Amino acid sequence: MSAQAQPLLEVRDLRTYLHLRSGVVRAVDGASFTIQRGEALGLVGESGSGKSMTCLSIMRIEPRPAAVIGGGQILLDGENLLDKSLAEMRHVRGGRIGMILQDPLNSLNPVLTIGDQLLEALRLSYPNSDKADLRRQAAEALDRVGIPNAEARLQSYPFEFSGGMCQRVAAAIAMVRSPDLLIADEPTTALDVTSQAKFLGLLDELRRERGMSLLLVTHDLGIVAETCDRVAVMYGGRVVETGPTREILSQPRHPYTQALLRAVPHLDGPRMERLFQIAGEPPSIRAPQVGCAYAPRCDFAKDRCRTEAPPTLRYAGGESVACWMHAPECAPAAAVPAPARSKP
Amino acid sequence: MTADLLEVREVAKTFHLRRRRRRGGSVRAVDAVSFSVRAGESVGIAGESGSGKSTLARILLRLDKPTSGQILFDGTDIAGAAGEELMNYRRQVQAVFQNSSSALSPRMRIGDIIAEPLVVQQRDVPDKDVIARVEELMRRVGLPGELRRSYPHELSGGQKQRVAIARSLIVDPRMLVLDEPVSALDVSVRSQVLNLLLDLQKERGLAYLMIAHDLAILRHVTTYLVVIYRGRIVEQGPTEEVLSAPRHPYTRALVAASPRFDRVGVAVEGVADADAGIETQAGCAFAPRCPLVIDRCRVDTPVLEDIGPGGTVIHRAACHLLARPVPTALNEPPKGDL
Amino acid sequence: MSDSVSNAAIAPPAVRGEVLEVIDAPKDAAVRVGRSRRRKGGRLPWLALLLLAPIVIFGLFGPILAPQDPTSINPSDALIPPMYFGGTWEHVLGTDHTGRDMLSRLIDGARNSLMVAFFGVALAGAFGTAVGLLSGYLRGAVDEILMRIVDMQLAFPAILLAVLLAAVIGGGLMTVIISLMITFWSTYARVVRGETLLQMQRDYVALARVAGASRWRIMRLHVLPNLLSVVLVLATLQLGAAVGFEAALTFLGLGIQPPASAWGLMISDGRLFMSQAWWIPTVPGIALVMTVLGANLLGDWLRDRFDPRLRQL
Repeated sequence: MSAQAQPLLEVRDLRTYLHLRSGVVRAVDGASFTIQRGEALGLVGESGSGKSMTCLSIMRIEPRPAAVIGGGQILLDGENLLDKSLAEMRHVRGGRIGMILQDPLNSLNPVLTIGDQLLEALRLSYPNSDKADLRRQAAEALDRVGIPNAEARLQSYPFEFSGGMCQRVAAAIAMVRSPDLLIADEPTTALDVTSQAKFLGLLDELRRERGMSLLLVTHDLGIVAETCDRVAVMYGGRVVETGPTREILSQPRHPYTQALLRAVPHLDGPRMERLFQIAGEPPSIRAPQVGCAYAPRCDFAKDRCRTEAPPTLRYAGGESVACWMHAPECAPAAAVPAPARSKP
Repeated sequence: MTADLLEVREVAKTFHLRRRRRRGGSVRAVDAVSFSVRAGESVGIAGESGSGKSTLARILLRLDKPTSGQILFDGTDIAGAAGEELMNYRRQVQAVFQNSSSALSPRMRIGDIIAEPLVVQQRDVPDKDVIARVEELMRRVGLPGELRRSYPHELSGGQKQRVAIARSLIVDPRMLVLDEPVSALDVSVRSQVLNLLLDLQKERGLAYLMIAHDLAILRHVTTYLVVIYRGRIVEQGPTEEVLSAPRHPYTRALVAASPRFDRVGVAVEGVADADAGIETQAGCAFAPRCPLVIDRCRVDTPVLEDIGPGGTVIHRAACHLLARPVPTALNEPPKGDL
Repeated sequence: MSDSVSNAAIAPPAVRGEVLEVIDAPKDAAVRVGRSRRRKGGRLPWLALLLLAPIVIFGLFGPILAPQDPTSINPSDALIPPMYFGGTWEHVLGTDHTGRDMLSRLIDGARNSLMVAFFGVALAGAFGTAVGLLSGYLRGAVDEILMRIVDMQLAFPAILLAVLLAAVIGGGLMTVIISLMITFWSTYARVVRGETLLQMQRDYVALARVAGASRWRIMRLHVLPNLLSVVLVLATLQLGAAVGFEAALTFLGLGIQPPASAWGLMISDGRLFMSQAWWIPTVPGIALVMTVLGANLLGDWLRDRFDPRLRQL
């Protein structure tokens, strides 16, 4: 690792397994990435990539007893969260790491007012403050996320708000204790595109204001382009590539990243008569994988890819990729394309 | 000039809310919508939640009847059709829905699901002919034949959507209504299904009516675009034109808010959030959120006016500010007098 | 038609940059826990099956298994306690006040109780499901009327209904079955109606209409099969309740009449002998508890198994 300041969050070789009736599923199979203070990292992946389970593991709220963190380290400012006791984790959650989930309607309790829910979070930070003081802070928090008439709105119930506003309330609750890191798991997937833009803008503002780090989980590369400094791409429970956003988008190293960028329809650039397509489907997490998880769909896969899992290569600039094509011992000659596939 | 296959004329749908104490508690989910689809053409409907696009889809599929307006298919109004007339319509218009998991009956086998429209509409077709047709379609959409006896839960998302497509084609319809056909699929799988739809369209001369919120997808699949907000059409025209030079503030907001890859690190401006209220108000529905709003917008409902050069395909928008030159930033005050 | 980018034409990602470190993929990292050890509820509901097995076997093979004639009265053998409480192996569970073998009576009674409960629940279920399905599907006036009838029926106390019925047609097997039908059908109707309403929202019902399917076909092929799991769970839970209900009616003298054996009769007879011969009412009582508990456990297990939301874990 290059000589940088100690990262705020460092995930090393995280493994989370799901024990189901049908067997053991490797939801997260060796994920590693870092987030510096004040940085926004986009965690990109599709279904089965392990991105959501990674977030739950970081917060230690993986769905027990089925999910078990089976290995690896999660270092927050150098301290391993996996070694902490339940009481210590409770302090970490909300206090040092906040979280926003995908569905705003599910994140908020429908029978409590917004004010009550904010107060609940505030009381954990300021157990000795009186109610009036806490209410003032709650109103400020709502105002900061852009809810008009904040003071009056403390009395409102979630159903009176639109999806975008609910998500902002969820953000307010997550940040009311000024955590160092905010994890947002697909926060805009359930929102309209116009609300999405507004919400991401808000996250950006708040992040810069407080020097907070952001872990933004999404399947949408477009969101990542606008909001994140760096990107980590996950596939089949593993991190296949990391790097600065600009580089990943313009010169991706991993075939999956490259294919994804081409397969997504764009509003800018020329109109395509036919879209670039990736064969096959994302791997089912139930099926055990031999070799590289992406090999079955990769246009450049060779025999070795199908039998041996590729190593992770780290570069001078801090980027990484897990692909045989880039491994030093593999000659960087023209890759042999996969045999002609039948049209899907 | 090709005649219109489907012509929607001033279709409206009003829902009455039963439990409101206020007078006139009703929602106009769809309000005076008119557009047409030509044979073999692909028309897109762009709308977000609350736009009424799903209601419109249901009406066009005759799952509901419109409160007013006409739906002309091949010249005949089927808005109130029943019996044989309706069945005839169903022979020519089928559908593909968004959520493949809830679109396939969980206790029916794939083969039966695909065969259903055929079995229902042509009862006297012998079984082996039905099976042959099912297998032919499965091949065409890229499903292995042995899945015919499987159940939906054994299939992946992409496979289930292919089943839905195969089913929609078995009676050889002339038009398909597709409601968010790829939104629920994984990103890496979407282009496969979109390409399949494009190929099928060319092969069979199908007309598509595609409803989606993702402008990028609509851009690649449709040639004519209708933008809906709160039940009203705010802009319509050739897809490429509408998306590259949108005239209505809402369309402009949609285009601006859609994620781009060429603007790394540039935050996008959005518009104010929609209010949770759904009641219809006077004036332009977008007025509460519009960055260019003027007083007139809150009082007068704008009507669709032609813009752009003449010709066979017209670009239209409904906004009081059309006469003014288009500002570059979303909320820059418009220049010139009204 | 302009040429678009075809799959075969793309160049592989460029290999570039200075590699600082190569970390091999771990072969099979040490896992903190061993193989899958978690089984929610197990493959089969052992306890439920254990509790129900004897009763079901008795019910099916009753006459063959009974060691003695359940109806033979031997006053000389009266009030013999069960085996380890001072009795003999000849009467494993003792005898009652008329000298009838308890075990044989228990087995015979099981047969009657089960048959009654089964038929009662089956008939109630069929009728209730039909009503619920029609109500949920057709909506409108039909729905309103049917649901008001359900409300009325639920408001009427079950025992009273049975007493009324017995007054009209006399006691006996049929009375119990009819009482069960009248009392239990409404629960099915309500539950099935709710489930039908849910099903109607599903896309596959809409698509069936788009395909041109008739209402009848949709009800038969799309809604009904998806209701069956709900109905099955309900039926299992009700089976236990039905057995209890039958016992209660018989206890009151409205159900199965002597000299036929029934657990309710055994309990009611044994009431007077609680202090002298506790086993007379207690043995059938325990059998009753086992049956109802077993049925409830089975129903719970079925519900957990069939609930799609729980299917993930």
